[in-house]
Amino acid sequence: MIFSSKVNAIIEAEIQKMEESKRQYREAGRKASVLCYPLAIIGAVLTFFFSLGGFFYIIALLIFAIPFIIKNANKSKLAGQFKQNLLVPALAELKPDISYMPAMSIPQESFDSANLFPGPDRYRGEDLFEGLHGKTKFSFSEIHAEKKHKTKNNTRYSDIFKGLFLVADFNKHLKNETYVFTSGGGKWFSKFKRVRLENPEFEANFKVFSDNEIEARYILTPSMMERLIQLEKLFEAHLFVAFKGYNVYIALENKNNYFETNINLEITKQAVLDVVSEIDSCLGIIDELDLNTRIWTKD
Amino acid sequence: MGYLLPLGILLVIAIALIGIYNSLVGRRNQVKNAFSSIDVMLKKRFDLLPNLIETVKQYAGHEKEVLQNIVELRNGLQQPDLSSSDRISMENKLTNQISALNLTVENYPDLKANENFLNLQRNLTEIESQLSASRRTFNASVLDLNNGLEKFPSNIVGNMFGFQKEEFFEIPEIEKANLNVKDMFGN
Repeated sequence: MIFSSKVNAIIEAEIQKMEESKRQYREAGRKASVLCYPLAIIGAVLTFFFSLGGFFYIIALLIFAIPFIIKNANKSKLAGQFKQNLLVPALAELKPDISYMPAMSIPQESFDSANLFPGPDRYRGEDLFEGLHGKTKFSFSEIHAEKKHKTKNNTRYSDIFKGLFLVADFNKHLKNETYVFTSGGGKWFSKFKRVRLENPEFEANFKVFSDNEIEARYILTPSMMERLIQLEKLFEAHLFVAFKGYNVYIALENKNNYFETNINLEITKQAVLDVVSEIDSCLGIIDELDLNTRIWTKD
Repeated sequence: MGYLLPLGILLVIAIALIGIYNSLVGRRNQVKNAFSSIDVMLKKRFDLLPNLIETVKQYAGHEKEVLQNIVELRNGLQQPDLSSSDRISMENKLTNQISALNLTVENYPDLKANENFLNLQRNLTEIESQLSASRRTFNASVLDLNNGLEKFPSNIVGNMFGFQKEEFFEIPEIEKANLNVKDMFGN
């Protein structure tokens, strides 16, 4: 993958700028450490000897935390710059059919309408990609959906879903709803019937629910079952799929943090290309599921 | 009071019998329902054939043999006194002949480019996919019914009320081979 000279120049200039910012941030972090750590230690010692009480310990702790806060803030600033100033122009050139919005995500309505997971109480996401891959319209992003648990003393959140969420235009007409869940996961449906399929490996890995058995088999052809098995292996993820309306909703649950680079390492053109190849593997889902084949009545 | 225990046992047995009987009726109806959905798809395919034959004739006159076979099979399917096994066998032959016809399309670029033919081909692919799904659903329903009629204790209820095991629908070789339809049509 070679960038045009114009984009190449933009990327190289931006890399230099980011490396310079990184040096400045490191220097700021170092200065903050030199100043704050001794100050916090002295403060804690004086508080101890003069028995000044808990409030001063908290102040000492806050001073101790300042360098960490500065370092983290700078790190996320750099990560944002990497996406906005390097990835966006690189993708505009390499993948003109795709638009990339680093701070946005698949809307919650879309996540909810997939009906794959219970409704979340807290919903966040980033790195939204939208566009056309071959004949297939798609959008995908990282999603973190959580459920709220309130107790007397505190509130905590547990994960409903964390991973990659993709919505794509499905290549067959659908009138009903069909859900494929990785074994041991997903929502429990009372209104849909469990559909048993012929592939033993597929049956061992997935559960299928649908309100129309024939449509479920129309979608889940022998080759589609094989493809779903492969997809789960490829991403080393738990797979949840909904075939509904005009779309297929694919949720890949794993621990990976996609579309990021390690800001602590030197920022290079290769780092940009590595993220682009991650995007390619996500687009590969569309190829893997053969969604671009439009030989049925739906164009 | 001594009669309460046997009465209770009888009641439990009666409820279990009713449950098993209803479940077998449900499974048998599911088989009928699945078979009727195969019928719907076969009828759709049947209606599409004259159009397909006419379009192909214009561009691929050399494929007389295949076209003739398709016409004969279609005419054969119109016979009123056709047994269901003969019908299934003829439908399967028809599937193979349509696939053979589609394989020869590669030799006729004008036909491949014809809008009407492309539309017919898409419709046919759709119907074939639906047909395949209906056959698989039928077989799954038959498996469910036959399991019920072989397993204990529902086999006893099945025998008592004269339930019959059903035959599986033979999946045509072309579908067993799990061909990639995309390659087949060369799209």
